[in-house]
Amino acid sequence: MFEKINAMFNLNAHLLNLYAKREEILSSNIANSETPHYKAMDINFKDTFQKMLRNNKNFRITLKNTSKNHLTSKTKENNNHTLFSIQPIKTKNIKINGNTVDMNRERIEFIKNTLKYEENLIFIKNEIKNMMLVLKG
Amino acid sequence: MSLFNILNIAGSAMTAQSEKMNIIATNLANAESIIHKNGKYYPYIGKKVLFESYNLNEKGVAGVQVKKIIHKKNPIQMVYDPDNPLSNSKGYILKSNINPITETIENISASRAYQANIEVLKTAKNMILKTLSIGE
Repeated sequence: MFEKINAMFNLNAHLLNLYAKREEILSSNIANSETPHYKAMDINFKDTFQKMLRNNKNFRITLKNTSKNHLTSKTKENNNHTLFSIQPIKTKNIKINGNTVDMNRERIEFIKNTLKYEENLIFIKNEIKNMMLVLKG
Repeated sequence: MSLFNILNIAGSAMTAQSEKMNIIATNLANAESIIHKNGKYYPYIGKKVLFESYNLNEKGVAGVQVKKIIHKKNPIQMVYDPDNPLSNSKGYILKSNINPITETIENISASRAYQANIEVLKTAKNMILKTLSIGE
């Protein structure tokens, strides 16, 4: 029973970690907005999430096999730590001191990221509420 | 946990920016001063703060620190003021190379950066508190 509860929260836990990591990167960009030669970093989020879905067996989105001829997709186990790569942002706006931080973008991404994190927290809370409802009746 | 790391990063940036504001305040206050050293009189030379990012961990996430404080390289002004006891034989005195307008604008930019970091700090704190209240 407990591994099922574990599996329920696993995806959310990974996502929260990812959002927290990204929040850290964005805050580092904001902190270094005036440092010479600093290059703004970011996670390529869409790719990362897709990779996570692909590599995580429990949360693989699969199609039902309605015929014998259907193929099942193979997945390989992968470590979650190596999933996301942090890369410098590609931009044409470079300040005269070699800094590529665009404050407007960073602030908006920061707010967006915060909201996504909190949205995930609410999903977890609701899942717990559902479980308690089932348990208590 | 990476959320706690945000506090370190934003904190380091706030320290660096307040150091910058400190230097700017020194510059503005000393815009008219003359330094007496080894029996000679020198005008005050403006100072400038250089930032540098230092790695908190290996993944390219970095805080800020003050690399060094350098002297400004603008030319020193010569002002004609024959009544001044420090003036030379032609009646000129040397005045410091500080431009108050530049200093004021740099001060505004530093305080804005400081405020941006405070916002980051507030957001991170709220996120941590909300995470702690899961399951309540």
